[in-house]
This record gives sequence, C-alpha cells and structure tokens, in this order.
Amino acid sequence: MKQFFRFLATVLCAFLISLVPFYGVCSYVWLGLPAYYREGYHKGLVKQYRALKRSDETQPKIVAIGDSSMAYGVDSAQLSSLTGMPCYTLGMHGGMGMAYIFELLEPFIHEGDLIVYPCNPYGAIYYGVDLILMSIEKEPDLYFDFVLRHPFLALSRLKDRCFVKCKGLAMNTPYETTDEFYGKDSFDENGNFTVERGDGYWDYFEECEHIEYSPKIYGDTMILHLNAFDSLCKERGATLLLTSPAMYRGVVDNDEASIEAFEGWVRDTFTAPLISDWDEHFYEKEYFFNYVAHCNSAGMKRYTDSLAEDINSYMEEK
Amino acid sequence: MAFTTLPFLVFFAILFVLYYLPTWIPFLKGKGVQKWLILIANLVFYAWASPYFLIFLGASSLLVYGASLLFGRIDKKTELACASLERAEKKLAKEKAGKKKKGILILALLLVLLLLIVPKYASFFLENLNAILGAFGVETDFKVSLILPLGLSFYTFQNIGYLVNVYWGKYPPQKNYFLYLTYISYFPHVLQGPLDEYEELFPALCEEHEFCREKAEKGLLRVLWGLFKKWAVATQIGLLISPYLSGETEALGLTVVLCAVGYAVQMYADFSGYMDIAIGCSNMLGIPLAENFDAPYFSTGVAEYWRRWHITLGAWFRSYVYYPLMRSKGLSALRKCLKKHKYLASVLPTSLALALVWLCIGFWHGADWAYVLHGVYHGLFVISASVLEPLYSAYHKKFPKLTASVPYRIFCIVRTFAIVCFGYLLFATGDISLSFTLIGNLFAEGGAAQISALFVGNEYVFFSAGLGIVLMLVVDVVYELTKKKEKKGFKSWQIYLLWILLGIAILLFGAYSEADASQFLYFQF
Repeated sequence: MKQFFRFLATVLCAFLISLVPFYGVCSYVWLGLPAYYREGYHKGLVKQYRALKRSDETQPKIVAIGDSSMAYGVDSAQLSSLTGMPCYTLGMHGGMGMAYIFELLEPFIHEGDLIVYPCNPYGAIYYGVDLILMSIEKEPDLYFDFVLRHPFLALSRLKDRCFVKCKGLAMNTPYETTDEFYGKDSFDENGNFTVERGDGYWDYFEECEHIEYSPKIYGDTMILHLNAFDSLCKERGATLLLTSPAMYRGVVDNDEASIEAFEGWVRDTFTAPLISDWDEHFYEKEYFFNYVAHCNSAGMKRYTDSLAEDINSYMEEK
Repeated sequence: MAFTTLPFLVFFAILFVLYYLPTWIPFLKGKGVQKWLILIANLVFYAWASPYFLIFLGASSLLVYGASLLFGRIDKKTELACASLERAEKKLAKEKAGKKKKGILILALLLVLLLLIVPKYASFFLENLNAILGAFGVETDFKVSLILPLGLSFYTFQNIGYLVNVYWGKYPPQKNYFLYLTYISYFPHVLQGPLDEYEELFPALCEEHEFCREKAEKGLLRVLWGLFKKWAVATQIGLLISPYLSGETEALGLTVVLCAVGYAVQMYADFSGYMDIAIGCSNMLGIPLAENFDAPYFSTGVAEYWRRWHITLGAWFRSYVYYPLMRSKGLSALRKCLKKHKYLASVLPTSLALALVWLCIGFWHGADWAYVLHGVYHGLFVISASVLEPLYSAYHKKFPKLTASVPYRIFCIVRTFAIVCFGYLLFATGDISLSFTLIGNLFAEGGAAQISALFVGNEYVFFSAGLGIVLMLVVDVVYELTKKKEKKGFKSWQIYLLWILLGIAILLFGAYSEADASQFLYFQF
C-alpha cells in the first residue's frame, strides 16, 4: 500500500513540476517581455475595465455590454449626460465571446445598476481565448485572473500566442491592427470609441451576408447563459435590459410581421426585459462605417440618443 | 469515452485506486474482485458514448458464448459416446459431431457477421444498388441510416477468433458469460484493438494483481508518450491537412505530397499513440496487452510493413482467413492439379488466398470503394512480392554485399514509405472520387505557393508537429537499432525525469481545442 501511495504522490509531484515551467515560461513571455499587442484595439477593453474599477460602487450606474456593435454604437459620455447616471461600456469584439464580458463585469454589479445589452446574434457565449489573451498582455491582474479561472482554456492557446509574440519581437515585426481606426488610441481613458468616423467603406458593405432575425439564430446556450446572467443581476439588485443592436437596414431580410413575431419571442424567451422595438435601430447606410453593425460617429450619436430614450422611458414606467 | 478526455482521466484514476484496494483488504484478497471491477469499468467505459451500443456488444458476445458452449457440449457427448464404441463407429460418431459443430459455427459466424455488416455496410450496399439499378434505367432511392457502434469491427473479430479456436479445440469454452464479456469488452482494447488472443489475455484478466510500482511507472510513461504522439503530432498535423483531405480546399502538386506524407505520419502517431495509451493503462493494472506496432515505417517491403503495422489485425487475418483458405478443399485441389508445375502450384493458391485476404482487409476498413481500393493496392504489392520471390532471392544471392548494405536498406525503406504514402491518398479521404481528384492534382502547379500560404499563421503548428516528428523519429530509430539487443530498463529517477519532460512537451506542443483532439482516426473503422 505504501508503494502505491508513494507512486501516486510521485505522479502528482511530477505533474505539478511539469506545470511550473510551462506556466512560468508563458507568464514571463506574456507579462515580462515587452508588449507586442500594445497598439491593438484589444487594449480598449482594458481601458473600459479600468474605468469600471474606478467607478463608485455606492452610486448606481449604467453599463453597456456587448461586442463591437456596442463599442461602435454607444458613447458612454453622451449616454451619461442624457440619463443622468454614470455610464460605462464593456465589450470590444464579438470574437472575445460574451462569457468573458459577463465574467469581467460580475464584480462590478451592484444594487441599482442597469446593465444594457444590445443582444446581437453574433455575440455568442464563449471565450475567444486568443483575443482575450491579446487584451490582457502585460496586465498581471487580468492575466492571472483569467489563467487561474480557466487553466485549460489558457493552456490551449497561451503557448501559440507566446510563440507568435516571441517571433514578432525577435523579427521586429510589429503587430498590425486590422483597422487603422480600430486601435488602442481610438479609445479615450474610459474605453469610449471617440475617434471621428465619417462615411463607410460602401463596396465592402454590399457584399455583407444578410441577416434574418428568427429564434434559431440564438442558440440554447445563449438563452441559458443570458437568463442565468439576468438572475445574477437580480440577486445583486441590478437590472439587465435587453435592446436591439444597430444594424444596416439593407441586410435585414425580415418583413414587419416576422420582426414583430421575433420581438415577441425575445420577450417570451429571455427573462430580462426588452426595452426597444427591434427594428428601432435599423438605420440607413450613412450611419455605418466599416461593417453592417458598426456605426460611424453620426450613427453612434443616433444610437446612443435612442438608447437613452429607451432607458429613460423604462425607468419612468418602472 | 476517448482516452484523451477529462472523463477518461477521472474514470481511470478511480479505477486505478479501486482496482488495488481488494489486495490490501484481507477479506477481499484472493476473492477475484478485480476482474469484476474490470467488467463494471468496461461496461461504463463502453456505454459512455451511448448505452445503445451495449446491445450490439451483448448480442454479439452472447451469440458466440452460446455457440462455444454448444461446441463444448457436443465434444463432451461425443467423447462419452465414443468410450463404448468400436473404432469404425467412433469415427462415424466423430464425423457426425464434426458436421454438427460445423453447422453451428457457420450459423454463428453468419449471425455475428450480420451484426457487423448491417450497421457498417447497409448504407454502402444500398447506395451501390441504387447506382446499379440507375444504370439499367430504374431510378431508386433506397436509404438507411444506422449508427455504427464504436469498436464493432474490433470486438466482432475477437469474437470470431475465440469461436473458431474453441471450434478447433484449441481451448475449452468459457462457461461464465460475464467472464467472457470481461475479455471481449476489456476497455483498453474494445474500441481500437489490439486484437488480443483469448488464451493470452484472459488468464491475465482473471489473475489477482498486486500493485507493482515498476509496471505502473513504465505504464504511465507509455501513456504519456501516447498522449504526446496524439496531441503534439497527430492533432497538429490534422489541423494542417484536414481541409485538403476533406475536399474543403483543393490540394495542388506539392500540397498533395504534403497531405500524403502528413497523413502517413498522422495515422501512425494517432493509432500507435492510442495503442501506447491502451497498453500503458493496461500495464498499470498489471495486465499486458499485445503490441500492435513495430516501427512500421522502417519496413523494407510492403509485406514486411503489414507485419509491423497493426500487427494483431494482420495476425488475425493470417490465422482466421489466410491459413483456413490455404487449407481449404478448393485451393488444395488447385495445388494438386498444378502438381507438375512446382512454381505455379505454390504461387497461384497463395496469390488467390492473398487476393481475398486483401479484399477483406480493404472492406474491413470501411464502407467505401476508397478503402477497398486501398486494400487491393496493398494486396497487389504483397502478391507481386510473393510471385517474384524467386527473382528477389536470385538477386540477393547475386549481389549479397549490395543488398546487405545500409544505403540499399535505406533505399528499400524510402521506397516502401513512398508506396504506403501513395496508398494513403486512396484511403485518407474515405471518398473515391476525392481520392482520384487528389491523385490527379499530384502534378498540378501551385503547390509551393499553397504550402507557403498554409505556413502563414500556422507557424506554431508546423513547429510543434515538426518537433514531435523529430522526437518520434529519434525514438523509433533507437528502437529499430537496439530492438535485437538486450535492453537495460530505465531507473526510477530516469522515468520520473521522462514523465516531467513529456509532461512539459505535451503542454507546450500539444493541440487541444483547435481540433477535436479526443477523436482517434481508427474509431471510424
């Protein structure tokens, strides 16, 4: 029996010893070496998180969460002046997955808070590990929080990202953001996407895939997680509000009746209230920038105005 | 439950602790608790994917168990009857019993094979029937969609092996069905083999095993090596070549070569990795399993390759198809007819038997003409080696120095590897038309550009897979060069060091979430 338990102890020790150099090397590359993704838009998420961290937890606030359509569409300063509540945004890219956004937001949900979520069908509930890691490079608190919570997820991608980073640093090839407008400096200190955006890339627009809003585009996982998140908000005395994302009208294939039916389905399926008419945020081309759900500056202003109106009327009704 | 999943890790950890528990508790010691624990573990393991699969496993094993019992009863009855009979009557009684047994054997084999054929080949047969009828102008759309139980081909073959051996009187039938089920459903081999012989595995399964630290340490080392092969080599290569093999992206020129070589390495790493995990786990429980690989890519000919690749499948076909065919009345008669032509009398029956064996091996791998063609392709090489044997012998005699030299051996190894790789182009897609498209694109232009485009963004995958391949190659070369020498085992500290190094290598170079790393390629067969 002694031999058996000695064997088990040796296995456990060997396992732990294997983990130490792996996570040690990866953590050193990710936190100790010079930043590689410092210019990327991913850093906007960290700015948003830090702004939330600075927020006064005794004062009720509005937090708009979501993916890039929210980042392009909600101006927290404008929303704040229109609603009279401090406003924050949290969300940068659909590829990061909403699961991570919920997780980041969780410690900051307090009594009286309003969490507004433009419930985009692209905003699937998962962890986009690559983009998350790129955001939290050289951010020890966020890095350790993620790695300790999700060691297996981190395990799956960390080494690959470290390899790319080391290669990039060694060969002196800087990380190129995908969009000149969507970089670290496009965001103010609160993570607000303040850079001036004019007309969009219309050629690209016309090639975009069309969308038809129907229950099937929201999977069961989305319904389950969103309702669970709503329960968490309620437990903390906060309110989750659903709204529709801004969308270029030209790509929506629904007619009026099917949109109404879809809206009914959203109200029946999700436990959080829907505060907008679903087609309220279908805009023309001139309000978009480089994607069918990415507002330009005029679109952002219009969307934020409309959102503030919806929030205010919800609050009045309440 | 695949070996590379978290549920398996938990399952095996629990089993490992429970398995040795009875050896420390005095009133449980020597009571044979371990084999029942194994049976429970087997059933949980097998039913994990779907409890429905147990119906097939149960039906197939019950059928064979019943038939083997009947053989035993007939033998016993005949023996008793013969005791009081005259010599001529004895012969008659034995002949009668023999016919009865043969009838039962044929019926049982047909039923067991039916259990294999219906879920595995029904759809394939109907598709071909539709095509044949369509060619005669009769439009039909016969369709059937059945779930193929995991490991069905493997345990069907083990069942057949056992049944035939009991029929031949090699060993008596097992009287306890649950013990027989323990052998058939033994979790390390039920899904992908190795096809262990009953007389070798069963005694080890029934024996009580005290914990042996040395076996456990070596077993775990083998498991880690298998995981490394699977995650750092097979899965990483799969990430690179699967879009081409599935037809998602068209492969051109050099990319086709990359796919063929990549698939050969992926298949070896995947299948032998699975075997390493299976054998390692079993060794940790004190139960040895048959080896299934013997550095096959160092073979100098196709026939040798098949003696070193999936060894137990080759041995199964030799024992239960090839030799019985060679002893069959038809081929014996043919041999007699050709008595005057010594060469033909030896070569023709052998070639016919080999042709049938290779057709069966092709079909066994899957219900598509691509697999059949792959079997025929390898069969042609094996048959031609047998037909040209006198020529080869003469050549070896004439140039003994050349044929014994290292460069010549290397040439033979490379030639065999090239033959195997080309064969994989027929096999890897699982779709004959896609295979022909790949082969047709072999000399198309644009391959180099395709590979350099593939490299961009996949540097880490190339790096990990490359490193893994080098490591595998080094291990196999060392094995090949030292396998005939007496080896000193690793010392404990060396094993611990290897555990840690392999652990780090798996963490650093393995691919976990990008592809479905829990699926092994041979599951589909």
